[in-house]
Amino acid sequence: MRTYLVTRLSAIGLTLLGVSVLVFGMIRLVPGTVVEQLLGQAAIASPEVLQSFRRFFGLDRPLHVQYLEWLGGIVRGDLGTSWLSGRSVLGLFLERVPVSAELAVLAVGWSLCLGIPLGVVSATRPGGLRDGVIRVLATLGLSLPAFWQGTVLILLFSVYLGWMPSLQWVPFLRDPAGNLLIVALPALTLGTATAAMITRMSRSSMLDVLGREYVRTAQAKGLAERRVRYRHALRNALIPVVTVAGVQLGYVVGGLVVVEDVFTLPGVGRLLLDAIFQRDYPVVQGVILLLAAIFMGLNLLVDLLYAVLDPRLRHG
Amino acid sequence: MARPAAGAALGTRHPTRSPLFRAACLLLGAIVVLGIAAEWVAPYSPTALDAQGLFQAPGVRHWMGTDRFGRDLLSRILFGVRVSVGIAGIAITVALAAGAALGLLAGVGRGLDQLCGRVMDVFFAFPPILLAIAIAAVLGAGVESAIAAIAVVYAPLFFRVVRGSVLAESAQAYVEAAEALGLGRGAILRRHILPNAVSPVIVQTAVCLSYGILIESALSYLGVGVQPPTPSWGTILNEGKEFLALAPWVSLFPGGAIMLTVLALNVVGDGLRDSLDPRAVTR
Repeated sequence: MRTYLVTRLSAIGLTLLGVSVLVFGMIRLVPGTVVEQLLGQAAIASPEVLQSFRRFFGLDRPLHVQYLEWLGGIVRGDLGTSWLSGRSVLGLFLERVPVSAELAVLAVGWSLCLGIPLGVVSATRPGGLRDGVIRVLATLGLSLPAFWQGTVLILLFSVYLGWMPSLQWVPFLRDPAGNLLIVALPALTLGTATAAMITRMSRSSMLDVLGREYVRTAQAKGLAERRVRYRHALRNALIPVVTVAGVQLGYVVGGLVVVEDVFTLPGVGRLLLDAIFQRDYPVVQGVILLLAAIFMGLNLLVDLLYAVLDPRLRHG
Repeated sequence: MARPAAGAALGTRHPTRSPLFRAACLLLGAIVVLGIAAEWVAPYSPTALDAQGLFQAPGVRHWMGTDRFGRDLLSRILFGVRVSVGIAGIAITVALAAGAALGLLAGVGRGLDQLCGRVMDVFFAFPPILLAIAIAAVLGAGVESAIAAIAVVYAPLFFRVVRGSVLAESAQAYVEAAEALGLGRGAILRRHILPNAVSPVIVQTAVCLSYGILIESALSYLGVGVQPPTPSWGTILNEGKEFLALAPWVSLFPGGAIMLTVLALNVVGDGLRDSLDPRAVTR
């Protein structure tokens, strides 16, 4: 277990280094220089202004120096400063995290609560009517574009039913009811694909386990079907579902960008998009790096959880 | 509908013969044909303005209504097939070619395998949509950027699938037999391993096409993909979002087009997976 952890962590360290090179390099690939983009037409008229701006942002130094300086900053917890607001990127990010985290946790939460029972019901009688309906629903859920689902929900609730949640974000601790009202539809939208995925995974995993010999043994020794199903089969069937849920939590991190835009929520996804449109590259760089790190961290966590849940992996 | 699916799950009936699978293929075919023939099928030009007919509700003259410039929505969506499906198709083809070529090489050569694996790990460290947004943002909005973004996101996936199946097939007895018969590595790879490694790639291609369409429309919806006035489904949605209460059809129809296409691709992908890879229990 310890060697596993060490190898995994060093691999992640290496990958993160690669990610940082990629993110750093990407921004430098912007057609024209960043400064020209930032200043627009005005910069072309006066090379002196351009030069002074490049010096100001430190863009006149060799690339490797810029990179090492940036990397050194990251190690010290300094992700750079926003060009527009002059605030630290990490600060801006942390300010927005609670919104996104709440959304992500709620989305994965409801999709687990719905997906696992649906998958189990579906696997109870494969080929039955209920199985058919659930599978069609799952395929539908996987095919719904989040931005469109969100749009339809807004149309339905806000425009037609006149059910308008506040446009101003309220933290959960200040006004729980108001907060949940705001988050409900975005969380529903964000979790739909995940719920579909978890339903499918629970179904196939349950079917797989129900075909195993120990289940037949349990049935042969005369245990009640319920007991076999829920005590013996379900517990083992849930292990791969945990993996899928974890991986999905990672994808939810990406989906946040879309859903926060549709519902205009002040989360990290919104921060990233705004920074992209305002060409605030330090923020773009920092947010992408942090989100990738979170994504990788979640993947690691899932692997560890997997090892904890499955003793064969722990001791093997 | 549940009955044939049940037969498929039990292996008594070929999954690609299910009516659902056939309907999905038919739908995909129809979408592609309509897109190609958009010039002749579409009632209006996709960019023709009509100052008298802004935001007309769906009706006899405009089946899907008109947008804020009076442009016919049905025509825009039909021409949008070319942009949305076209971008996804080209991008996934590029991803397939690049990923499969690297995957084949990596499956054969050890040193290259290590290097490629490390590089691909970096790409896998991003949630797909985030990577696509980052690439599109850096390259600047446009058709080419969207293609590049989707190709870069999915090439690592093809790399992994191809490499994995080449490695798995290489361990099979028939490869050993071919080696014993004195066949060269190139011949074994080409004549024996490749045909066997193809089916997971086909399944992956169908699934990735649906992701490609979703990502393209997400990019365009967010404003970092295809730009107006080019009619991509995502762009139309983006233009419709400000006028949701006034003209909901501008948002509803293109989204429906995306969903139907992605749904059909998913059904086809599932059917192919069940028929080509009987070992997989993914459903």
